[in-house]
Amino acid sequence: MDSAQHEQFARAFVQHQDRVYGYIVTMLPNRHDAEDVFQQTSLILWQKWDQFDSAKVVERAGSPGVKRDDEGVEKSARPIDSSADFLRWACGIARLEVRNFLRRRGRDRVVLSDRLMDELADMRVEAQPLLDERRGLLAECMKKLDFLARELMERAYAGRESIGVLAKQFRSTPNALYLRMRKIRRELMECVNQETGREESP
Amino acid sequence: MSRTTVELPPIDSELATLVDALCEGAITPDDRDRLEAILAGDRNAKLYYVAYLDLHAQVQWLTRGEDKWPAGEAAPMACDSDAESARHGDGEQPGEPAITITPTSVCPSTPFVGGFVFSYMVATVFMCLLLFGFWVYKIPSDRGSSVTTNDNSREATIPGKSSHDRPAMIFVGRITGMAGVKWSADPDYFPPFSYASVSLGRKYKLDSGLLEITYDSGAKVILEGPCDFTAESTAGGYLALGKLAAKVDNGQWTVVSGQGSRSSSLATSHSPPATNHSPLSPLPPPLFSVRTPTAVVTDLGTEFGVEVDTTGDTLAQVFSGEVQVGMPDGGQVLLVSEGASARVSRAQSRMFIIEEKSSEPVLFTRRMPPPKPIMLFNDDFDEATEDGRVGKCFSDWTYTFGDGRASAIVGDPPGTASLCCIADYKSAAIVELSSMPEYNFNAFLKRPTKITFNIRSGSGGLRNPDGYPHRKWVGLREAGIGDPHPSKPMSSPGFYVALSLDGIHSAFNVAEERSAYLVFVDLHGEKTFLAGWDWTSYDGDGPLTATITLTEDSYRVEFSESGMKNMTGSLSGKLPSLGPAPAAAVVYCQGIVAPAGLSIENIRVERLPPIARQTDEIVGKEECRP
Repeated sequence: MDSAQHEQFARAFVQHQDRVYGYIVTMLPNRHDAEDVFQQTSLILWQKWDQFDSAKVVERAGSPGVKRDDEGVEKSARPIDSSADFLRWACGIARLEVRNFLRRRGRDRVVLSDRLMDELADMRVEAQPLLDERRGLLAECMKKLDFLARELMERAYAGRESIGVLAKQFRSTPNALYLRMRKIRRELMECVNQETGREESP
Repeated sequence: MSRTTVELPPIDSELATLVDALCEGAITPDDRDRLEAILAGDRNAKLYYVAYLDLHAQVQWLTRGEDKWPAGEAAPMACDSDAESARHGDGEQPGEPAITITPTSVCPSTPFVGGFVFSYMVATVFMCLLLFGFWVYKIPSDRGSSVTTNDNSREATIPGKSSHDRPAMIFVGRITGMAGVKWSADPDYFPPFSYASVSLGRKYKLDSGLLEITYDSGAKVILEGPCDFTAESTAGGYLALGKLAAKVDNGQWTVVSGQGSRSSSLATSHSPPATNHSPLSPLPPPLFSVRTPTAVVTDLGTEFGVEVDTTGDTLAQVFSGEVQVGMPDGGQVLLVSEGASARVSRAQSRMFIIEEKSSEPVLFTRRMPPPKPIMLFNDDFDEATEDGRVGKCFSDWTYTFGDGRASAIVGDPPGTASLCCIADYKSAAIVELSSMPEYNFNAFLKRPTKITFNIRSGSGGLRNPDGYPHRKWVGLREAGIGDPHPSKPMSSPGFYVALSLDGIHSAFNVAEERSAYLVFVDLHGEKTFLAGWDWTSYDGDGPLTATITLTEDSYRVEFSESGMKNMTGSLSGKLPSLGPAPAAAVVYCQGIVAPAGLSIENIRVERLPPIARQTDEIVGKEECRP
């Protein structure tokens, strides 16, 4: 892989890495699991980048005339013409890595069925433009959170402190913090909807 | 799919509850079956699921750089056995994960290959390869890898902590100054949660103001808004738009000195600092470089400014020393000497030296402005309820500190402060003084250091049940002696102020443990508790001056109150030796006050004359430390 390919990959990866991560979280909501699969996916993407690039093929799951490579990734003869192709290709590999992860872990997690996961993954790909727009609005909404809400979300999601420790520091209980985070997520969803309505109104 | 709204089910609906349980790792097999049944035939429900999980994912993504786990604990989300108990019990759950998914433990059976650690190592190698290749292409003149390893993490600089079993982001430096920073209003840009550490890849988009970054290598960069800068390596960054001034002084960096085990470890595990290269390192140090859309400006031991306009054209101006200006494709290269400038135009695809020389260019901000005295709390603040408790969080109540040189990090955007009331009548605000030029990364190395500040009460606020205005504390005592203790419920409102050398901007409830801390802060914000003590409140009403003096191995706190009590007091103790460790030494003044008025003013940080000691003794001490 030459330096131009390095750069091409870097640009595509940086542009889409959060979307790929989100795709994985759709199936594996646990951060630890998602990180694990995301990192493995990143490595596979890196390893396969020259194939993707040199063959000018993209993974087009479900499209007519798809072929599979030796890893079982579907692909069709089509030039790389947009970043969406990279995202589709990356999500295809991520889906396989989720399956591999669940196979390795022996289904010791309470996870959704394969069929529903596929449906949700498809829904996510279909809804990607919507999600992209909502993500931009979400960033704005998160800025509006009050200090304590941001503090709680940051620290709870960062995972460096247990909920028990956080509950003590917030002078609350673990259950109350979980409920608080539910409300915060809900407020964020509502905020995004409101912002959307504001943008769509003439 | 053109619509952008997602139909939200009622918050207490079964669908919402089950999706939340899934996010929290508290879902049971029966719940899962029920969720599947709901989602199976309902497109709106699926869309809600996808959108909600995307939100969950984005919050995870935004907090990825905050990853660090306390030493001696398992990675919080790796052990899931406590999750279920945490969901159903309100007691303290020290080992429970913050966000979990599985009700059964998977830790004991987690294999190394395929496990998180393995994946992380693989991903690290991947990132190294990726960035190495990227830099080889982008900056041919860069003589060494620009990529750090895991060891350049928060964990790596903490005694007794292992970085090998923790995932961590790569940090390349710290923010050491902010002045009037206004983050970009771009909805796609999210300002950093924590302003202390600069992680690899972190973008800083400013609409206005000044932001100073000090790289681990010692190089300093002052960004001047509006600008768009990404810290893309340990030795440079990408300036997409705006201005920066960079200074790469030889010998400025004295932290990674090759002394002792910790320093040696850093010197060989980082990309070696450009200004302090360890002779033990097999790699030459990378040169500090600023990449732009049209040029690569490489430091050759100098101070220079770079400006990128909206067309991508680049102006490089050399204040002292010499820089190399090259095309991104590695083609044309030009050496630019002191006082000269070079402009790279994408349209003309050529480069030329501006003939006019100026010994003192004024185009760039080369020094952060000095800090001004700080007024922390407004004194006409009176929002308390009748029973003396504050019932809401005044998150939108902001306070600007002078010109913003001393930035409050609880506020958003920086330069403002939010006063939040979390319990009882206690509130907290934190002022970061890291922008003070005399108190920088080297402060711990150059102790003794003296910190002085004044406290005055304000005029507004609560009265206690007897109708008396708030008392303000003027005393000081060792922890655990006497009453009242700030952590105990107070019978009347009182002021509690903590001065801490502390990177815990989130520890606003400091009074729960101590009223004041001394905490060692390393370059990446990791903290080591050194000492703590409590303040005691009295009925004095005069201004109070407090001074904390730190030496290599001791602290001393003195106060004097010039009101009717006219009190003085002191407290001192020993500090464990930290040796010549890399220290960020950010000072936070952290107030826990009643919502009446209180001001913390004239915070001054001074370095006292150094204590004579032999360097090799310090080295030996450092090397012997576990």
